[in-house]
Amino acid sequence: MSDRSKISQRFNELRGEQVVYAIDRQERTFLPSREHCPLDPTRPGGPPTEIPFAAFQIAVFDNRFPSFEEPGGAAEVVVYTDRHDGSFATLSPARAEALMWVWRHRYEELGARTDVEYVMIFENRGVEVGVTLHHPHGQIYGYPSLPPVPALELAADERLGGCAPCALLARELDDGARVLIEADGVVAYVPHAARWAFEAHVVMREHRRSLLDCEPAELRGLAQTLQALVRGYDALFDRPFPYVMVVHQAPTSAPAGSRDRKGHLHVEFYPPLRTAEKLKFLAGSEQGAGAFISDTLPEESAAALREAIARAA
Amino acid sequence: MAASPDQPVPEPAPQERYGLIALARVRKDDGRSLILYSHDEYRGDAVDASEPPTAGRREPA
Repeated sequence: MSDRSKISQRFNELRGEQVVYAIDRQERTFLPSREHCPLDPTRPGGPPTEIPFAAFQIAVFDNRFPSFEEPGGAAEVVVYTDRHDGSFATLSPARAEALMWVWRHRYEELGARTDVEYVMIFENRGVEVGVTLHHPHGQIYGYPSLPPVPALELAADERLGGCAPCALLARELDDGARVLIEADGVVAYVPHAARWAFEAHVVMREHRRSLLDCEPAELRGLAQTLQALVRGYDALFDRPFPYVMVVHQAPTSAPAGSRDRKGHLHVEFYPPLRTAEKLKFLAGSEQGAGAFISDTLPEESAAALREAIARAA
Repeated sequence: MAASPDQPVPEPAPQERYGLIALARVRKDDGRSLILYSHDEYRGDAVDASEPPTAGRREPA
């Protein structure tokens, strides 16, 4: 029997994972004209938008077309600015830093809910990764159960006998060939076994399980490093660089102050471009075998990205 | 919190502080939550950066 409820989940036995069915999302707004952007402020004489105010700085609201909703999780939209044009890279440093505090606030509030086991903050940028609205924004999903990727990260901790991101960061700093940015409290690098040609990880130097563990100066450093990296991405091929950006933090099933809350705050970028014009597609090996095949060496990508970051600074 | 395109509502004043930011909570007409965040780039009197929140701060290892 088919389930026509708006949001449902089924367990895929062969993959060992949940699949979410959110059928209302078929109707979501798709690449509207600039005049009908739902993330703009509501201007005199203009159409009503998601934000019924004439101006705002940062806005967060429940997604009108959610993949999860209470009491089975959460789906929120984070609008970075009331200006339609621009990107995360073009935000003022103060706005980018404020956004880190917004992310932290949402992680804390959503993570405290009993129907949320994992808070994922992310941004899809560019039509190449399925963006349907160009206004600078990100999203937050509160998953009702632990998804596969954070579960794999916890398994990596077990395999390495401690915090995996801490160990991998130490290896990257020791090697140095793939390091992109070394800032106070934050390091960016192309990982040793990157799956995407220009994949990059932005990792807290100290063991911070989530944004809640960070000192204010670390949040500032994180914002600065993320912006420097994204500006470098845009400079790499002299074009807006598409990516998926995901903030990885500790699952929230354990209380915020508990030692059972395990993880290491880092931000991963998965850009689909492998050249200025060519996209990496997830095809036979990646989809059928789960084995990524890359035609770019991470050390060479890192060298190109370092040059682009310097050029954009 | 209806918004008339002819008379847009001014942004509400912040109700809470959270580190470097302040926030105002609004309920949209259809019941969905909306939070407006502001920071001292525009509102120097709206936030106090000297007192970051204590909830969830790092615990000793």
